[in-house]
Amino acid sequence: MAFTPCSSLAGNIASDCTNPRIKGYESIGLIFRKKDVETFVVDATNSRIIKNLTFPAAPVKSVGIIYNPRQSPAHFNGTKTEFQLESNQFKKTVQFYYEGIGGINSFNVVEPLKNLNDYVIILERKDKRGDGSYQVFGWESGLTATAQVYDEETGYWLITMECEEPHSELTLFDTDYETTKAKFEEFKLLCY
Amino acid sequence: MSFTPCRGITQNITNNCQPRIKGFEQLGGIVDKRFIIAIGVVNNGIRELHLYNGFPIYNPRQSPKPFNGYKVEFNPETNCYKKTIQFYYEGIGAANAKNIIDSLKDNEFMIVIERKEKLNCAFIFIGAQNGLHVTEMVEDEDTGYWLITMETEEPASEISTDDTKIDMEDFINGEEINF
Repeated sequence: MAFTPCSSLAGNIASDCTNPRIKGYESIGLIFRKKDVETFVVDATNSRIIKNLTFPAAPVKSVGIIYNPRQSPAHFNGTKTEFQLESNQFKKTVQFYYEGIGGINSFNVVEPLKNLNDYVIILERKDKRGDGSYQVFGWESGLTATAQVYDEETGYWLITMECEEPHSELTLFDTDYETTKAKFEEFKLLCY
Repeated sequence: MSFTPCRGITQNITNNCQPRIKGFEQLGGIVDKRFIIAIGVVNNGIRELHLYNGFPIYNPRQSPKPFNGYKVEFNPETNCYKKTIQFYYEGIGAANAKNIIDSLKDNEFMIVIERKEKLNCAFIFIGAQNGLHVTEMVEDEDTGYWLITMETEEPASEISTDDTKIDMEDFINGEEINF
C-alpha cells in the first residue's frame, strides 16, 4: 500500500469577522466514566466528533452534573488544552470547584475523582455555533484528578483533572446545535 | 578552486535618521513544505520560488498585535538563528481541530509575513530553509483562541524578497506562485 503522510493544513487560519468568538463556558457540565457508556457513534470522516452516546436505562445512574454557578472563579476557569512537544499529545486540563463538605461528600465525590482514570467531561461553550459548542475532554485517554485543594478561605474544593490525548479537540455534535443540545439535556436527566 | 573564508561586513553599521516603522501587517501566508516545488535562496534573498496550496493567517486583533511574538535569536551552539513566530486562531470544534490544529503539529511549514515598513523587502520568509514546526499550542476560554508558537533554526538570519515578486493574494488563495 502506498505511503500516505499525515494530512496537511486544510483551512484558513483566520478570524470570523461576522461571527466573533464568544468566550467562556456555561455553568453546567457533565461527568461520567467511559466504562459506563453503553454505545457510542463516532463520525465516519472525523473521529473527533462523537455523534451519540447511550447510557444504561433508568433507574441506573451513570452521569454526574458539575454545577459551577459562581462568577469568581468563572465557570470552569482554568480549563485549557496545551500541546506537549515531548509526547506529541495535547494535555487537557479541566478545573472546577465543589463546595461539598463532610465524610459522605468526600467518599462519594472527592476521593473517587482521584481513584479512577477513565472520567469524561462534557462542557458547553457559550459559543453556540454547532460543532465545538460541546467540548469533550478525556474520551480518548480518560481524565483523573491531579490536584484537589480545599480550604475554608475559599470554602470549596478546587479540583483539577487532566489527561493527554492525541487529538486537540473532541466534540459532541450531531447535525446542528439544537439536536446536540437535546442530547445533552437527555444526558442530564440521567444524573445522580 | 582556492579557499575563500567567510566574508566580512560590507556595509556601515549605521542607523537611519528616518525612524523605523515597527510591526507586521495583519495578513500572512502559510504553506506546507510538501507543496513547495522549488525554492532558491541566494545571499538571503529568494531568487526562485515555486509553490502552491498556500493558506492565509489572518490576525486582525490589536491585542495581541499581528504576529507579535516574532523574533530571531542567534544560537552560538548551533551557529544558526532560532526563529520564533506566534499567531492566534479562534476556530473551535472537531473540524477545525482536524483541518488546522492537528495538521499544524504533524507537518513542517513556511510562513510569509509582511512588515509595515515598506523598504523594498517587506516580505519575510520564515522556515524557507529548515521548515517551521509547532513548539507550543494553548487554548482556553479565557482568551478564546489557540495561541500557536512555531520555531525553526536556520543559517540565514532573515530571508526576504523583492516586494514585486510575490503576490500575497495569489499565495494565500492557494494559487501557484512561480518566479
